[in-house]
Amino acid sequence: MDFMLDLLKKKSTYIFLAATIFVVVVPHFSSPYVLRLMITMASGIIAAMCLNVVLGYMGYPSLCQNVFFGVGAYTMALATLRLGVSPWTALALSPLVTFVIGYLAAVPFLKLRSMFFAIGTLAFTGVVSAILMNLPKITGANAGLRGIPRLVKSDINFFYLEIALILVILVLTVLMSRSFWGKILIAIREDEDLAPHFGINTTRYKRLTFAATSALTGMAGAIFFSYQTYISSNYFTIGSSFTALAIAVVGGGGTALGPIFGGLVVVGAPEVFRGMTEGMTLWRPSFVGAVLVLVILLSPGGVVGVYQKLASYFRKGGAN
Amino acid sequence: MAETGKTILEIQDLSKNFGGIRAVDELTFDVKEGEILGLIGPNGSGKTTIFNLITGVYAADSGRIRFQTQDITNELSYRIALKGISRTFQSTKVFHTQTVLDNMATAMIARARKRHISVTRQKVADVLDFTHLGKAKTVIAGDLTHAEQRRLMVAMALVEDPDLLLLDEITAGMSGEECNEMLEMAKRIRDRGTTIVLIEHNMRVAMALSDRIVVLNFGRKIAEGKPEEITTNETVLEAYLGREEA
Amino acid sequence: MITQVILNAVVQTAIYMIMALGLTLIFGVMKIPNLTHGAMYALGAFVHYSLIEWFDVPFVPALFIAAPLTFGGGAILERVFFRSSGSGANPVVAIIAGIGLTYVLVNVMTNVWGAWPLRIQTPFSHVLRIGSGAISSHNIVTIAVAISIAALLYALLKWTKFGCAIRAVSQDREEASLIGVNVNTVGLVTFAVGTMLASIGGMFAAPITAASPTMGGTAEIMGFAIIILGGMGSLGGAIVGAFLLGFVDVFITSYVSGGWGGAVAFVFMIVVILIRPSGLFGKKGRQI
Repeated sequence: MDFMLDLLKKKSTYIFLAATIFVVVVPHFSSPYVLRLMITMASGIIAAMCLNVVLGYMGYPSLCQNVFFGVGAYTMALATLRLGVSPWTALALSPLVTFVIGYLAAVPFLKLRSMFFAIGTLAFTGVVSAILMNLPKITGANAGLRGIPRLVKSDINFFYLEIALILVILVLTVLMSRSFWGKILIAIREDEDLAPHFGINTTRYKRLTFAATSALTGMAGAIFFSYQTYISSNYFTIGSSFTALAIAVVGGGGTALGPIFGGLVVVGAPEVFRGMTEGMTLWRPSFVGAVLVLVILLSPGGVVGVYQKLASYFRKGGAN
Repeated sequence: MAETGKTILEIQDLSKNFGGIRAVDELTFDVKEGEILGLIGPNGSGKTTIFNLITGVYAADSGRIRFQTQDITNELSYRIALKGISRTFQSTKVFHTQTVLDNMATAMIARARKRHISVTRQKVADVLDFTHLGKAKTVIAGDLTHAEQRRLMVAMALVEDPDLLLLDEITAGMSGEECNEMLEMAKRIRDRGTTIVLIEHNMRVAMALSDRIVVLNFGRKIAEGKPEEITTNETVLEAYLGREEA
Repeated sequence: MITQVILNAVVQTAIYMIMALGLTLIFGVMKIPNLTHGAMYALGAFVHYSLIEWFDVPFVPALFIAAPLTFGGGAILERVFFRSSGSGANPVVAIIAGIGLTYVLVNVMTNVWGAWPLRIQTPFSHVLRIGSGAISSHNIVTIAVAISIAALLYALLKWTKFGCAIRAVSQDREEASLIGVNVNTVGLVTFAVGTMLASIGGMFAAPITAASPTMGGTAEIMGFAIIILGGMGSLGGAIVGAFLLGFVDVFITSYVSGGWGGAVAFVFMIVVILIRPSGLFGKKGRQI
């Protein structure tokens, strides 16, 4: 009984309940448009959560998240359409394929640091984008591939599928951050040259982390494009590779929940304005860009960082 | 612990070039188990490069490095650390944004999982005591004083009981009193069974601490012997001691 | 056929060169990669276009009005957004800020001028026949402009006091400030000049490839590929790199297939980054 009372006192319990209600109830009352928005947001959040581990915890600014989203998505598309497997088999395959590609990319790219890593991964996105666009026989290029079978029938169930994946990743991230793995990633981020002198095999952990996060991103890609049933190379240009980054940065690097808030802000907030002015959707990328710039220059800790600063400010008694 | 006379580290004809500069030039010397060996020489004589070669930060151009009879010449850094060689650095390299405890945890991560947590906790407590950092467990490393940070660096290098400890100018930036403290600490480290090689600019500390000294100039060994022999060696005086800041 | 391809390659090189010179200048001084370069390339084309279409300014005078405008734009960008990253301490911040700004700029351009490519008329429409190929006078002017810019920059850096200041800051920022160079001003002007060059590149490219808000995307990455290849911060490297990649791009596009030119350039860049990050002409000391 005491345990229950304790739980009721904690703020986080109410937030958790609110979130659960939101997730469980709201989709049933939403229009198809809003539902699609929520599914898109969830996808972005997953990609950002994975990027968050690489960028926020490990300190490597990867600009190629999109590539892995696409690898998973095309695995889903090609496996079901060309090989005839069931979408669930394809879903199981997508993280495996993406893991391999992620690992292969990790070997050369993780030799680079900071700015060169960022530019290198950006170029990688360009190369993969060109590959997707110029092999129409395999990828359908611009015209794309249609008729990807759905994993589940209804949109709502797709949303729940993604929520499930988000929860899994959330749990994994929290477990990781509290374990030796998290400590190793932070050591790599703080001083990569120092870590090996304590016996830490940085290369192995960098590669595995990169590949694993890629695999999960690939899964999200597979789910999303199964939902959409249509894929084309247009979704994977250099320009489109920044959404995950925007969400991860805005939400706050290096925290497990950050990307969730980031997703809410980046994808959700502009939609709030939608009701107010007709033309607001036209300005959504500007909104995202502006928030990104403001956040990175003023509060690199993102939304979570701002919250933490505010919280400690108030805890200390306000203007004192 | 008395010197056993066994050789723990062998450097044989080691060479390293950077561009056109010979940083280390066919260097040969041994380190005996249980001793404190001092490496001295003017700036740029290659001392830190030797440490970098031993710990796998640089790849040697030629020559051999043997540790406890194993060839570690081009071994990976992390493996060398696991074999029992630890080091500190000329600039204070710790994880500045982490607490002292977290720093220690990171220093032990590679090996901590294979044993019980209580063993790890004990090791941390012991080493922090040893380096007089027992009261600073939850302090952020960046908030420590300079001398405390350097002691933290030593603590992190020491916590896994290395057989060989490389100290690179550990007294840099320290006051006279802090230097003495460090001197005492180094002696105690040796007494516990760790062999030490130290690079030192402070001649007083180097002479007081070292059992033997190797003198370098332009990457080559120009003298080797006991401290009292070195102070009277002509070549050394010419090359180095004459230029020393008093 | 090959004459035509070569002529096309030279024009492409010219445009890339203008882009790359600006980019390498910015990197040399500020030690950060400028990820707004592509957006300003596009914006330059649109500002120029607007002067022609809305204010009836002829092509050439419009160039001379648009250029200073973009110079001002670059100065604003530097002052407001990039000054704090100017020492190169945290390039990731600059990269992300650049990405965010590009988002905003491209969106603004799309909303103001539309997403469809705009045809821009050039008064230089005379076509010259060389061998079996043809080259328009516009392209010849573009090449001439590129050469002039390269020459002007060289002269600026070698013979003027400000050029000396630029070289000092790019070699050692702290030392330069110690000897009295106003590092902030140098950074501001360099960034503004670099941005202006990107815009000029766009102004000349637009009549050839049509102006669209996203025209800067590939051009920017090509710019990075070029300066990484040639050595970030090296003018000579930017020129050589522009030739190399300009020719590779056009030859692959002409002889192999349309879409692969860019991809090959990126692969080149990745290989260079991995093997010799300082590039062909860069100095090792100038890296992060």
